[in-house]
Amino acid sequence: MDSTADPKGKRPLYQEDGLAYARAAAAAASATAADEAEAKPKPKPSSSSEEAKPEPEAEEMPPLVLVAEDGVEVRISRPAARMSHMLRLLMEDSCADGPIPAPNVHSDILDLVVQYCEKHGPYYDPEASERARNPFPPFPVELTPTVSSIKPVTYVDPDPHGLKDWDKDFISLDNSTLFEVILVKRILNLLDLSSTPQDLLDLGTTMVADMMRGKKPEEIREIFEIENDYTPEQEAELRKENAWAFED
Amino acid sequence: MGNYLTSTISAQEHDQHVHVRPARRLTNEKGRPIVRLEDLPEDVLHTVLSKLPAREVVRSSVLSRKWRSVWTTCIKLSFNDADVCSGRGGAKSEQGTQVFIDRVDAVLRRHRGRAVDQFEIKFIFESKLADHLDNWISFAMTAHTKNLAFDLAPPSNFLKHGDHYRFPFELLDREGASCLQRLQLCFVSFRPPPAQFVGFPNLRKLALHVLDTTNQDLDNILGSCCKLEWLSIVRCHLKDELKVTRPLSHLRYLRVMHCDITKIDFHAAELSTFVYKGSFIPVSLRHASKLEKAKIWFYDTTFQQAITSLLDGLPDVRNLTLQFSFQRLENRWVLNSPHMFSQLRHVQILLIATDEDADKILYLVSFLRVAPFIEKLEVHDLEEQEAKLNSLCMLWRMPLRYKG
Repeated sequence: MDSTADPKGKRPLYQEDGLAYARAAAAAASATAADEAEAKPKPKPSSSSEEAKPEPEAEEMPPLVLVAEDGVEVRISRPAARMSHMLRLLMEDSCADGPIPAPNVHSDILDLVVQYCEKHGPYYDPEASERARNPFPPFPVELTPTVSSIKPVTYVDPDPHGLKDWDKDFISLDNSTLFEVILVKRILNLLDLSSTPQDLLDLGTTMVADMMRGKKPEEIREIFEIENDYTPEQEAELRKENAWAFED
Repeated sequence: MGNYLTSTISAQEHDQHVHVRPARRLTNEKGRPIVRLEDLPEDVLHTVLSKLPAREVVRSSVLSRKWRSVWTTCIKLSFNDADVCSGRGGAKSEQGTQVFIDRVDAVLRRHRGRAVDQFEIKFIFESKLADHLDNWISFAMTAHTKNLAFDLAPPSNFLKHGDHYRFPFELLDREGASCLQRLQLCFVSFRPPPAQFVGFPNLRKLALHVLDTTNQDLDNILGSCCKLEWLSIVRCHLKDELKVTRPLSHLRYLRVMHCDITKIDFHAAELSTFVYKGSFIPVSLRHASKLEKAKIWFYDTTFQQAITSLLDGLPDVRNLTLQFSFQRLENRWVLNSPHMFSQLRHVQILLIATDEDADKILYLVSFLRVAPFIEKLEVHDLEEQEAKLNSLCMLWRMPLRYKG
C-alpha cells in the first residue's frame, strides 16, 4: 500500500483504467506535495543506480518522483521518463510535479526499471527500436555484405551506443525478479500496450525464451518451477497427439 | 497457483498418483511473493513463445495444464523447414514436403477461427505445395494476418528450379487484404495477373524476391499500395521498365537489386533512402526532393556516364555512395548539364582503380562543378583482397559555395 491517499478507494488491476487513476492521484497529490515532501522519509539511495541524482543540467526540469507500493520514493529524470508511455502523458498534462504513485510495484523492481530507463533514455528512438524488434523482411534476402571499413551513407548502425552488452548484464536476474520486471513494464504501459517502450519487455521476454530454447519439457519445468499436473496417461496422449514436436 | 495442496486436481486423480516434491515456496527471503513464469499474463507468454521455433512452441503444451492451450492462442506463427521437420531426413527427403504440410496443417487447425497477426512460411517450393499454400493464404485472410511472409526460394539456381508459386489473387478478399501491413514474397509469380485486384490498401512494407511478373502487372499492384513506406525488389527480371505510375506518397525506402530491368521510374515525393545494385540504367526519382541517402552500385559503366545520368534522375540527393565494379577513367571530361546537385553534401566513391588509371583519379572531381554545396568527398580504392583495404582516401571540406 503506498502512503499517498487513494482517492478512488480501490487498487487498480493490470488492465483497468490505471492511467486515469494515476492522473487523479497525481493531481491530488501534487496539491499537497509541499507538505508531504517534507514529511516523507529520506528517499532510499539507489545504491545500484548508475546515474547520480539529476543535478544542474535538469534545473528547469526536476526529476519525477515515483512512489512504490512500500512507500519508498524512486527518482527518475525526465529524459528517462519519456520511455514510459504513461509518464510521458503525465508530463505532457503537467500532472507530474508531485509524487506519482506506482501501485503494485515494489521499490526494488521500480529501481531496476528506472535504472534501465536512465541508461536508455537519452538515446531513445521509438522508430529505431520498433525496427529492431520487428525486423523486416523476416527472411533476409540480402547477401551478407563483405566486411569493409567503409560504411556507405545508407549504413545504419544497429547498436550505435553499445547498449547490447549492458542489456545482457542487466537482464541476468533471478527468475522471480525477471518476471516482476516484465510485469512492471506492462503496468507502466497500462492502456496502450502496443506503444513504446516495449524494449524492456522485449528484452525480458527474449531472455525467458532463451532460457527455454532447446530444452526438454522436463528441463523447462525444472528451471521455471512448473508443476506437472497431468496424469501420466494424459501426458502420453498429449505427446502422441503432436508426436512430431517431441521427436528429438 | 500450482501448489499441490491447493491444486484443482480432483481427489480421485490425486489418489492415483502422488506428487513427491518439496512444497513450493511462496515468498522469498525478503518476504516478498515469488513470481513464477505461469503468473505472467497470457499475452506475455505468447510473446515468449513467438521467439521460439515452431516445434518448441507445440512442445510447450506438455509443460502443465495451463500451458496446454497457451500456444493455440499465439498470434505469431512461423514455420521454417528446419524447425518443423526433424533432423533426420528433413525437407530433402521424398516425404519431407508432405511431412511439412501435415505439421503446418495440424497447427493451423488448432488456430482456426482465431486472429493470427504474423504468419510466416519458409520452405523450398515444389508443385505439390501449391494447393496447400493456397489454403494457407485463405487461412491468413480469415485470420486477419497483418504480417505475411512466404519464402519459397531455393537456395540457388533459381532459373533451373522450375515454376514459381502463383500467388492466388482471387483468394484475397477485401477485408483480409486490408489487414495486411507487411508482406514478403519469395519465388512467387504474379502471372496470370488478377482480373479484379482488391488492392493492398494498408500495406506498409513489401519485399519481393525472385518475382516473376510483367511490368504492367507490377505497376498495377504497386499502385494499389497507397500507404507503402518500404519497398524492396530483388532479382525480379522484368526485362522492361520498373515503373509505378501512381504516386506513392508515403514511400520512404526503395531498394532495387540484381534486377534485369531497363529503367526505374517512381513518383515518390517522400523518398528518403534509395539503394540500387545492378547494371547501368536510367533512374528517375525526380520528385524525391527529400532524398537523404542513395547508395548506387553500377556494374558496367563509367563514372562520367553515371554522374550524368544521376544528375538527371536524382538531382536532390544529399548523401551519395557510388560504387563501380568496372570502370574506365577518362582522360578528359566535359560535363555540360544545366542541372546541378543542389543538395549534395557528402559523396563517397568506391572504385577499383588499376595502376594505369591511378593518375586519372583526380579527374573524377570535375563533377564538383555541378555540386556547389558539397562538404565532404571520399574516394576509396577497393583492392582485390577483401580483408585489406587500400584506401586512397581524399577528404576535404568545401564550406563555401563554389562559383565557376
